[in-house]
Amino acid sequence: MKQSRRDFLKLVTGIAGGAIVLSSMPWLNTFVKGSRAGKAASDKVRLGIIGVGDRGSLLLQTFKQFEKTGNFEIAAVCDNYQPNYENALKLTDGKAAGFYDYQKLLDMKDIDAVVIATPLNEHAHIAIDAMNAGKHVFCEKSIARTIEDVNRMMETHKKTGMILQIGHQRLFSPIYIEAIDKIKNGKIGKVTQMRAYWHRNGNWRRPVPKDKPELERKINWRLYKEYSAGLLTELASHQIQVANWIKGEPPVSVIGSGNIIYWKDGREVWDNVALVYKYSDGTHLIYDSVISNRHYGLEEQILGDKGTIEMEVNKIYWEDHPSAPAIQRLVTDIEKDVFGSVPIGGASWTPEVGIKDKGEFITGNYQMDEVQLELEGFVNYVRDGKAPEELTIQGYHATIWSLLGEQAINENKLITFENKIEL
Amino acid sequence: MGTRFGFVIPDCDHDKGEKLSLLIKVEVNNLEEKLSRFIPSSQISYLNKYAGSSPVEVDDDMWNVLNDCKKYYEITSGAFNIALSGLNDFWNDKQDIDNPENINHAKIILEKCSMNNLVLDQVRHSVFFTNPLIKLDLGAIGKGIAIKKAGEILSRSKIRNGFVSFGESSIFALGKHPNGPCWEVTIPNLFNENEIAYSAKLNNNSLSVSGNTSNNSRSGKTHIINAFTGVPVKEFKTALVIHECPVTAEALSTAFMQLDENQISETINKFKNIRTAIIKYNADRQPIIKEFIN
Repeated sequence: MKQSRRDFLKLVTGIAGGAIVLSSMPWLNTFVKGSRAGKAASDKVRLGIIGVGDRGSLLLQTFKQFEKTGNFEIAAVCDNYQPNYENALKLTDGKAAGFYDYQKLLDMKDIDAVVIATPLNEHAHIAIDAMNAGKHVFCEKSIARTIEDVNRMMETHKKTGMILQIGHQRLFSPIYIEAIDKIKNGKIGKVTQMRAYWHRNGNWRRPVPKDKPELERKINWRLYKEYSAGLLTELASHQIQVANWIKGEPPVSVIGSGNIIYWKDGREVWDNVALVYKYSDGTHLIYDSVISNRHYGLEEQILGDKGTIEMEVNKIYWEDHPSAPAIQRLVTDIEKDVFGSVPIGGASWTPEVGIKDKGEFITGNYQMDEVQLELEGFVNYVRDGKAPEELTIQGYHATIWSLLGEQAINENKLITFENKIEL
Repeated sequence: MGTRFGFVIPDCDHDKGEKLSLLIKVEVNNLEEKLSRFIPSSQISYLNKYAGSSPVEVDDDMWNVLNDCKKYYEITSGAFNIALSGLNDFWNDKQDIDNPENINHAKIILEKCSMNNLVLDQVRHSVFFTNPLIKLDLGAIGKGIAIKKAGEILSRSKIRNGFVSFGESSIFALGKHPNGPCWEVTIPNLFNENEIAYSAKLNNNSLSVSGNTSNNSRSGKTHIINAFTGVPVKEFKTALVIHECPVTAEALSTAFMQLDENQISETINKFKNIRTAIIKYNADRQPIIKEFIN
């Protein structure tokens, strides 16, 4: 069952009552203090979406889900690829102005904010131009293709005072919010290791029209280094953001390896990566990603001395659960043709839980649309004219350490971050 | 019965396994609904409520169970006692089992808990409590009864090899392991679960184990009440009994937690093909095992 916005507000209000949450998740305050949507035309937020391919059109459709209650409108869309452009206009029922050139969209005086969902290497110049044009910015993750571009965007954000929100929707996920609250409150004890992975089985390609092979790099930009760091910037950055959120700081070093071992089809980005990030207290984030096996899927596993949290499946497991039942071990032995003894009469003979530790749900609100909540937050921030800086900083660190991961693999050495900017 | 029931039948196809599972499940559930004092509608709850006022007739199953309990009470000189639930309830919320006030109070309750207060009318198959405060708890024998029923179902279904476990403390081993000559079970050291204190080979017989874990002994929250003192058994100790009858094994393992070595010897001499081990621990937390075989 999909949960309502009211459920989310109830959850956030409940959680955010705690001092820890108020200080570590200030972006939720916009929900706690209640809707500021208002009915007045002057309150209406006017948005433009730049880049309406797969991700951009998904964001557009998500906006449409709450446009009746959110007092905002999608006033303009922009894409320099005709099929995307036409599809976006159709999705807005022709109500939005359409552009092939984002500068023309930025010239619209009555646009308050833009959403950028272009290929990664396009983020920086569009976002910088937008902020300089007085538009608030919601930019899909990662922030930019290079650390230099990231820094330029951050400088412009600071100079102009315009919002720069990065699309890390987990920051708005009820599951993650409640899980982080539990971790910060010590429910799973001291966290000393985090493991995260994102596994898919597919070539990660989008179809290129047969009669236009020259569009290969434009359409499959994620496969080429000029535009993307592949798995690192497109997938890992989400999970690095979660790890940073848990630790309350970015890593201090990263080391890793990456290769193309399966999809040898002319792509330039690695089809498998493995990295180890270290935090200041010695905690590790062990990360890997492949696109030739999807058995393990996607997960962030947070290991504490009292419990384990698996964010993606909304589960928490306790360390003091009874050991595997003897009968289960007997079955395993028989299946392996082993004549093993059956341990009985230990502490486990007292009333026990299920045969396997299936864990507990972190929260019951596990099907809420976190992307919608993230966009609702953005509309609220635009209406307020400001957003919590922590939201930008979360995106900043996630991108920086995705890119440093790429550097660690390229240089085959431990990388630390020396060229920090003032946040 | 507040614990997990499981069985393994190695050479059995899926459909037959499902059918057996269903049969045993129904039988065990029926037993629980009859024997559990925690189920208000159970026959034992009805007895506990009304048998102190006037005789209550019971069905054949309950009648046989109560007669067995009386028999084991006498055989163990009172160590096996199903009338101690008042004491269990008393100690349930007590933190200090060495408190003299608690111990004295327990003695007063104990006086009312004799199974001699349980009158079984052999003609009418009725039950009467001569002391109205008596409450029966079949927890110390219920798992043995359930295991016995499950074993009977397997035997009737021509199953030759199988391993049945109730809470991993009551075991019925039919035939042998597919890769060995018997079924082998091990009892861990209470202070180090990775260390084996005792192992036993089972073949067409039952094993029941009673004992205190290091955790519950430390807190004093043990589930076995000494029927002679009224105080929970505090000693780190395990008692196990191997016998062809799961009910006998179950009743005796509970009783042997309270009896000394001479009393245990005397008791097992009343049975044939029985094996018992008492596992105690020295100051270095190493097991000291005393075996009794008849």
